[in-house]
Amino acid sequence: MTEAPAVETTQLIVETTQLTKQFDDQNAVAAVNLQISPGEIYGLIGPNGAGKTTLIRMLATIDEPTAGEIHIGGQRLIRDQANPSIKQQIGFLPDDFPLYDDLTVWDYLDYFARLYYLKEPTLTQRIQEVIELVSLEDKQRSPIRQLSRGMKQRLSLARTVIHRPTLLLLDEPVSGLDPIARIQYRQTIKALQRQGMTILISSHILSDLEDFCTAIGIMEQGRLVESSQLRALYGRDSQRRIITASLGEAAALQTAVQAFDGVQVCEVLPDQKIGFAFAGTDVELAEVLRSLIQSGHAITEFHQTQETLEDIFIKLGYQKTA
Amino acid sequence: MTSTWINQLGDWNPQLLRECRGRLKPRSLIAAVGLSLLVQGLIWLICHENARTPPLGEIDYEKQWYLIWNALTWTLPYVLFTSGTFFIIIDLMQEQKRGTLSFVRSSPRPSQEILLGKLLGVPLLAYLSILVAVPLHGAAAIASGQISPLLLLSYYLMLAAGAVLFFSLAMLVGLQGGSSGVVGPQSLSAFVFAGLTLTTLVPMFMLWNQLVTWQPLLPQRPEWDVNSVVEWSYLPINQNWLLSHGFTLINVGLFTALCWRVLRRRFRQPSASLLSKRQSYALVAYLEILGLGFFLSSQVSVSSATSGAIAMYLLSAVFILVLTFALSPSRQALADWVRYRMGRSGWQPLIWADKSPAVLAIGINCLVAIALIVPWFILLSEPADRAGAAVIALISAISTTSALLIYAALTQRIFAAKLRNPQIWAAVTVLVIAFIPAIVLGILQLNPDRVPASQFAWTLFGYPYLGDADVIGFAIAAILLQWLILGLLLTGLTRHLRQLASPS
Repeated sequence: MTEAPAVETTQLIVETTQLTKQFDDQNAVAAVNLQISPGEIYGLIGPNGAGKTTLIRMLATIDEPTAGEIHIGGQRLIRDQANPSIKQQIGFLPDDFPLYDDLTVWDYLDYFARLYYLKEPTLTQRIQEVIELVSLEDKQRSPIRQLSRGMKQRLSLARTVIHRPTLLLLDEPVSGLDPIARIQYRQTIKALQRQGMTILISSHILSDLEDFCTAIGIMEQGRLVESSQLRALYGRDSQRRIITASLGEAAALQTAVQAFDGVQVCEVLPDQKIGFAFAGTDVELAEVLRSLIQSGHAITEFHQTQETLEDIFIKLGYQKTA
Repeated sequence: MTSTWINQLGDWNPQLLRECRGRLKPRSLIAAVGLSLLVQGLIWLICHENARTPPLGEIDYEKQWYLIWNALTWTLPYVLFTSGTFFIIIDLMQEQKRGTLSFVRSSPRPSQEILLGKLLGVPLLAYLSILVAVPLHGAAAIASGQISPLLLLSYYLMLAAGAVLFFSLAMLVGLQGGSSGVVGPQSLSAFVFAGLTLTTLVPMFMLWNQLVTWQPLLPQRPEWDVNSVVEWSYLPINQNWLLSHGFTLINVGLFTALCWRVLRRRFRQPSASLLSKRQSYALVAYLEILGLGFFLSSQVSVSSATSGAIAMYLLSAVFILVLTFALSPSRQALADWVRYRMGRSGWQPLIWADKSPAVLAIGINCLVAIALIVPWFILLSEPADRAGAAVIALISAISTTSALLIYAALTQRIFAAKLRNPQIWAAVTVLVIAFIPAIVLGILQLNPDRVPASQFAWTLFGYPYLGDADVIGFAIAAILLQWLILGLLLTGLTRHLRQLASPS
């Protein structure tokens, strides 16, 4: 509102340059250059103490950087200034999601909606929408102190998105939730992405993120050591791993498989199945299966296994993050 | 879903609406109104009994109403200011402890709007209990036939102005207390500040208004009559109600405005030092001018003006000592400053920058104070003694300034060290050095009149030089030693800052 965007930096929603935060003599975040495109769900991974929370808090304008720059939606965050137009774009959910016990669910959301300049009639409509989004319809008149932990977490998410931010910053949002609540939470996050929000979500559990993230960044000791599209990460390892099994001898099947072009590291697995890496195309892979059947192998199983993010990261040498 | 006026209130200030919703619960409302009515009932009963005329015991109704008005006039500020400051500090500390204030801070609403919502909203129950007492207070004033409507109006105006000022200060304490690393229970500073309000601020509020603001309007009764003229810069400020109100309101306004600048800064940057260097210069200049003005008065004799100058001098020194703690940046801020000032060097950052060491800024504050007090002290002396007075004033000013700079360098060095509670370490160290030697010297009755060499010690610790010409040598020697100490401390501080610049 007061400050004009200093430099229009393409269409990136988040762009940081040499972003640094020091605590005592330690670099909590060290010279991070982070770029997030619109519509992305960016998963930030790293062990505890890697600097994820500090990075997110700086993006949320809660903590001040020691050095470096932050651009949100093309606007530069100006130090010692209020930056209201940047704040209007951000929704931040910290891992401890503090709430006010003396308010009801509705009044709490009403308070924050108004803090972000929402007015009637949109106000009531939007509060109803977010209450539906997080399935708290039955509790909208209840005092917050009567909610369970999971409900409080959902209410906090509702508060975070009440003003339709373009950038959602979620710090460890699924920690402490039971499995069903986690699934619901993932669905909500996907729904928010469909509504056009760009989401930065941190976790130290990789399996939480691979389901819905489109890009991944890894932090280690304050540095962003990896940042790329999820597809690119999977594609980085061009080999595919295939599992097959037959009614006959495992050794015979292994010998037959090894004869094909493109087959590497073929081995008998403990459950008598055959596992092999395949460097060829889909057509060539189909040819392998047809030839095996034609040569009399009673094939009961033939499928490609998806490597998990965890496998990829261990392969890339980021053991510390797992 | 919500009625129009609630909606408008919420659009105007969501924080105020939030406070209303959190606080205006039936049980609290009944308690606040009930307590107020109970106290009013008690006051009425006591005043009713005290209004009996001997020997028949008939009720003198005019007296009764006057007594009720008088009692409520004294009770309301105590109730309002003490409970209000307490609620505000507790509320802000809780919000910071829970972490909820960060969300409010990261919303696009301007900080003054949130703070105004807090100021109006947090003490709602206190406001309500006062509001319930207004009918009786007003009725008593009218029924007694002695209170002018103007005085009644002024009373509520001053109550409101006082509330804004004291509650702003309380917000500052709440924001400061919640974020400082000082040990102690969260509610301690709330109790301390509410206690200070009860024992000091409210009595000062009533005394000032009685002496100045309301003086032209008060009924001619012995308990209100102070019968003295208060002048500021030879301007009688308590003889005319326009002037008395103008003076009070302008100063309350100035002080509140300064307080809000500090508040907004603290709210936005919780890690910053309490005051910016610029704010400290403005505050010292304002307080010095205000203080000096009261001694520029036809009511004050030259001798008491001289004592006044010395009192102002000592008060300024103590104030600047306190300011040292409010201005000195923390270890982290210093480290950020030395590592990332990026080519900006020279004196400018030391005078204005937020995170730079505060020693030079303390020196400038001393200069601001000296610039007003020293010439005034010299002017107060007999024309024939002016040269002698100038020497006394200058030596005193130099020694006190040097001592304050030593304390500032020491404080800054302790703040820059890796300690758990640097504030406490610095406070204890400085208090011990600044006051213990003087107390010991005092107990041993070592003063320059008896033991000329003791002037050396007095000067060394920065106490004003009041001796005669034959001990001047000791004073100058002490000042040279002060400079040597200061030089060593600054060298040490510089070396330490360089170490901070290169993180391990």
